[in-house]
Amino acid sequence: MDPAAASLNASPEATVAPRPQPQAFGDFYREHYQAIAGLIYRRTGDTHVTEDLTADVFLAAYKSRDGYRGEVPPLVWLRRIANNRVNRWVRREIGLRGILRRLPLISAFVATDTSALEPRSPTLAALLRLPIDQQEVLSAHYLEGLSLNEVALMLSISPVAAKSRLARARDALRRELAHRTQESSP
Amino acid sequence: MNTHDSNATPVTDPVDTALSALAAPRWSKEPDWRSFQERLMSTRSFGWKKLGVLALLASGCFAAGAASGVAWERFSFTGVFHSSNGQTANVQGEAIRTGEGQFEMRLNTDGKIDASGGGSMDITMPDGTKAKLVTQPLDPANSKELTLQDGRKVRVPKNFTEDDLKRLRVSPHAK
Repeated sequence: MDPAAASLNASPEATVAPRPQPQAFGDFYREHYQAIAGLIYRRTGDTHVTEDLTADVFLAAYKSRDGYRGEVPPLVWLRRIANNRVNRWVRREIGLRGILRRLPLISAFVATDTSALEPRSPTLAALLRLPIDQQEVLSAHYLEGLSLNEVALMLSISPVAAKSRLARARDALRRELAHRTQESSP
Repeated sequence: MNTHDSNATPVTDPVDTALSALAAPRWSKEPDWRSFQERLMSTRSFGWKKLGVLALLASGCFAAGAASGVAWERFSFTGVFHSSNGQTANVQGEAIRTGEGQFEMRLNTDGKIDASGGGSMDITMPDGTKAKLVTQPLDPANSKELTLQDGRKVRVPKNFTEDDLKRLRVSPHAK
């Protein structure tokens, strides 16, 4: 007999409730991965950031799964977590760019080209310049294709408030795009 | 006179154009559950006791005598337990020698698993060699189910003693 084989003569069954099994969470992960990674990718435009933040979202979901009581569909719950993670990332990125721009001496030696921190797409750069709540509502409605009611549910606001916020966000994006067009024209 | 210009190009709102462009990118990578699972495990190396909601206590004997070239009284291991019904669970285990050719094995998992049909997992012995831990199917006629005070249910062999139950570190009451 294989000396490296150990055999037990008893194999008790044990069950616990209500924590999901790892295997069940695996199915949950596979089912919603594309939706969450897609959302993050469209807001950040960066492959590595998307992979990191997507993992963060599912880690957070795993850790707080006992707190999820099914008040909203699972995907809405995940989208809320994803939005929070992306918003945190945006604040950090915008903050870093601002610091580098305000410190020309440092940026001259350390990061001479702050454009490296800018998204490759000027349209995405314009979106990321908007206030966070406006980014969220534009992203949810136009990028993820959610209805106003779904947007309202995800952001925990009324549909009327969602509609109003969406209109303000569109105006803000229009101004930001015009501003960037002026800046880039000779 | 018809002044309508049928060739007029419809005016497109630049905001709509921009939003359409932003909505276009698609994420093409497939989910990698294995990789995520490893990350999950690495972030809670000290959270095992909190997350360890299942304790399996098994006793038995080494079928192959000493399964390691190094004498040991107890050792711990981690791995993935594969039950015969296709379930898997991450396991942190400890083997404790209790007598000549006798040992106890405690397996803590991070979730629910039905191991009554038996299963196996690869473990590393104290001398670094690999071993396969095999559990045999539990005979339903010779087992009983216990409900622990915290609500967990544990199926154990009929000859499981009070001393065995105390090792689960929770106070049980027989169902």
